Amino acid sequence: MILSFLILLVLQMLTPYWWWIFAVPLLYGFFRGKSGRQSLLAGLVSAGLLWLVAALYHFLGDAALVAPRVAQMLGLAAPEGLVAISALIGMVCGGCAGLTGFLVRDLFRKTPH
Amino acid sequence: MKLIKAIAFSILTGGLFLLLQDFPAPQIPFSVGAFFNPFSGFWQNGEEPVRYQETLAIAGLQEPVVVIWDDRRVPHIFAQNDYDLYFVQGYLTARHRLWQMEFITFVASGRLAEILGDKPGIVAHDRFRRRTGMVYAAENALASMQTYGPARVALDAYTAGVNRWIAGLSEATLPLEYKILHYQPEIWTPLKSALLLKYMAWDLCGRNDEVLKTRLRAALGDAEMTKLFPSTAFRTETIIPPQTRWSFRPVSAPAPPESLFMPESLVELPAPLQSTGSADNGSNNWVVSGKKTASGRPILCNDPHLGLNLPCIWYENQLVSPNVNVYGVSLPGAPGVIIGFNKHIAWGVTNAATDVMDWYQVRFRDKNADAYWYDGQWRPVNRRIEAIKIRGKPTVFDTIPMTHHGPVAYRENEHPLRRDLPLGAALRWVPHDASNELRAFWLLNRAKNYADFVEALAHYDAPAQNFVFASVDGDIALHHNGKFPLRWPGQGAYLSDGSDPTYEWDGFIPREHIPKVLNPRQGFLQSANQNPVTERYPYYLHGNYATFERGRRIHERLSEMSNITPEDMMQLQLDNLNLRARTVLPTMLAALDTARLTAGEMQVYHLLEQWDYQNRRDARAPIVFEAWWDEALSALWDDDLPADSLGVILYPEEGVSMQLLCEDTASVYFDRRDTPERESYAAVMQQSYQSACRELITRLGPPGDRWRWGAARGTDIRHLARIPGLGRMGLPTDGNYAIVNATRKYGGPSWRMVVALGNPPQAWGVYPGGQWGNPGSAAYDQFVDKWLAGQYYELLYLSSAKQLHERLVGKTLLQPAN
Repeated sequence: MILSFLILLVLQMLTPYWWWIFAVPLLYGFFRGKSGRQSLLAGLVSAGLLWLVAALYHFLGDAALVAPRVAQMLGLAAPEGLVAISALIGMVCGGCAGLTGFLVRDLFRKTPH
Repeated sequence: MKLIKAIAFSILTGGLFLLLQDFPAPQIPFSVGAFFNPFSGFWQNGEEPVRYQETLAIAGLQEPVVVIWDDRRVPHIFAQNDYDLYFVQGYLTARHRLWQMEFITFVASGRLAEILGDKPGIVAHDRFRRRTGMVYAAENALASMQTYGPARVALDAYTAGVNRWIAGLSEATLPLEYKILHYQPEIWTPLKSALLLKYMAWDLCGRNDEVLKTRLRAALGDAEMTKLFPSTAFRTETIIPPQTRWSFRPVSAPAPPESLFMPESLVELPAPLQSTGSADNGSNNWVVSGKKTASGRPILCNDPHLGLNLPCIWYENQLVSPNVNVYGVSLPGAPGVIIGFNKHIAWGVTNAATDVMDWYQVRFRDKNADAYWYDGQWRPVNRRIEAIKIRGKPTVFDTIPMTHHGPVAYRENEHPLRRDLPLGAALRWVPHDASNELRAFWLLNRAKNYADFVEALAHYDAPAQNFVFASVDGDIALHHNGKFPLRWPGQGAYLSDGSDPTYEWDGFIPREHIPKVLNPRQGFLQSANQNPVTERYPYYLHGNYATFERGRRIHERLSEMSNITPEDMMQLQLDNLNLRARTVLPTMLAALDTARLTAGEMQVYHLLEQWDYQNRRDARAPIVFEAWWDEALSALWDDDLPADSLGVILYPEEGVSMQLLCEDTASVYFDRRDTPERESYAAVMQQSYQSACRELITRLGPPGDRWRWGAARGTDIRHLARIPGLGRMGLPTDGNYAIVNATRKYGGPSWRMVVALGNPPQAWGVYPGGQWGNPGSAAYDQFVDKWLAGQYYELLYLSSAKQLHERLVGKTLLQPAN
């Protein structure tokens, strides 16, 4: 789980692609997943936590003005909702991808898990 | 089972990815995943540091350039040559305004569908821009700009600077709007600068009432039209003082046709997609000579009134190289300063409003439209093919028939974008011709005296402007400057006959003969978009000139003032006197039979009676006057004038209505033609007053806080692309459109500037926006509150990069990189 988080962090810092939150948990679940639940959790926590912390970092820092404007644009009642949405996207995408990675890998295993 | 589970979750995950990658938002293409990504999405568009202390290595620079930042984030650019100067102007403007400057060129060239997709009205908008020849106009302008060395250098350097900034952008540092609309900036080109200038030209001189007036003339006849659209406007104080003598020998005017053209059949207009474009752009400028000021030196003022948006249309900067030191506002996308001052002179502009646009009814040979009738023979039609790209859809191709007059914008069976665009007519428009306004601004930025000013304006064709001028030597001047067609009296007021050479423009008024004045005896000059001249001027000019109020009020104040200080001038820019109300309201009120008013109507009556005619934000009378004015006009005209197929009536010039309401109260126009009785002025006033009261009470409730002018009207500064949340809405402004402080619901004074000539010059200014276009920055709307409060900033005019001042807070050193 920590490995997934760290790889994701590095790739997100170095490249602009948002879909690492799919790719990394998917690969993690595929190669390192121990069970469906564990893979789901690893993806959910690593991507969710990363997006939560990173969004919060900006929200409490330099994004104090942009967040309310974007919230208004999207019709959100409070800018905090943007942090929640970011975290939620990370969690759902990471979780789904992690579980999918594991399930696909599981097809190729000889003995049932 | 395992297989099913694996497939199900793969589909779920894949579907989730697709949904977040390309969200089917109702208004705009949107990538939720990319947008919310904290590492490159909108979270990255936060506040940037205010106090730059940086050294940048920039490929493309020739010598080091120093940029000093003041506390309002205005860059003062010190370059060692002109190329570097405009390179850095382009670089910094892109740094802070890239999205805006590019978006405007997409609007101008009819490319919005590339960004916004096939949304309602977008492709029609793009088609309209192509059909009216915007790209064609920009291409002609660009060819001309490239003929004058210094202007070409400025344009090339500016382009290189913008592209240098674009090249350094990453996904994370893209301006917010690119992330919202999910697209990427493209390479900047000199054509885009030309497009921006043509966009301004269309905004300022791209409309007239020829179609609507032709319809009206067909119904009413010439005698009636002369009454409704008289050549001398009600109480107008002309721009050029009426006693001015014209010492030149005018070139002879062309001969008019024996009888004025009337189209055989006026095609009934299908529903346009928009109403007519807003015709209420306007502006004030004036100058007072040293004999009227406390300092003994001239003071020059300008406040151009435009549609107000965020980011603002202006970017403030000071440009310094060995041959120039100029301060003022620029249009993001074009090099140089548009309105400003240097050590020797100051200048400002208002829209000339003189008509430079004629529509020619064209007779095609057949449906294929490959030939048109002109001067007794068929002439071939050229075709211009335009490709309109649409995001996510196949490209649409559009064919524009080109005549020697210009493009035929809409064919008989098409829907025009706006009501004032005729069908089956070719557009002759001065800004289509090659011209080099960039050269004019290049020279103006460097002008040292009146002779330089005149030389600069010789290159300025369109959009025609009233250029006000003052020099530190003490000269003051005003030029109604532009390229004006030489016409027979009345030419171009209605649709013209495209087959008859009599209706062609017979050349242009020689530039030495345009309306202009230098150092008048009265010691001041003013312009407010009104008619520039009296009938003594030897050439025929006509246009959508502003009614008398702003010009007359400014004239009235300047006449009575002496020992003028810059503060007095600021007060005049903020003047809220409603001269229209002061002119017509006493007569209107006196006509009311108060015995027949209800208690509620009496309460409203007292508001008007006690009003000092000031359109202040807390006053409740202005909204009543507005409502009553509208009702009175409707009662006055709706029964006299024909409505078009959509029920729209073109009212006469407002000056005519004002004259009737306060002087010609016995006029037959007050009688309602749809009733057998003969209605009097008093009856019409009583009835319109009561319906205005009813309308206001229905809309705003009983007279209370919601009736206050600032709340009932107010001003919205919307985002340029109308993105919700990125504007400043509901600002409680004073003023109104025919008032010196010319605020409107969606527009107003876009740059208030006062310059006191001297050594060094002193200047003050404010615009309703902020220097940085990033909505995530405090500098996005930094000046709005100060603008709203009617306050000004002192502008820092630096003589060297080493100058010290407590308000200088940052420095950027740009080094050439090899």
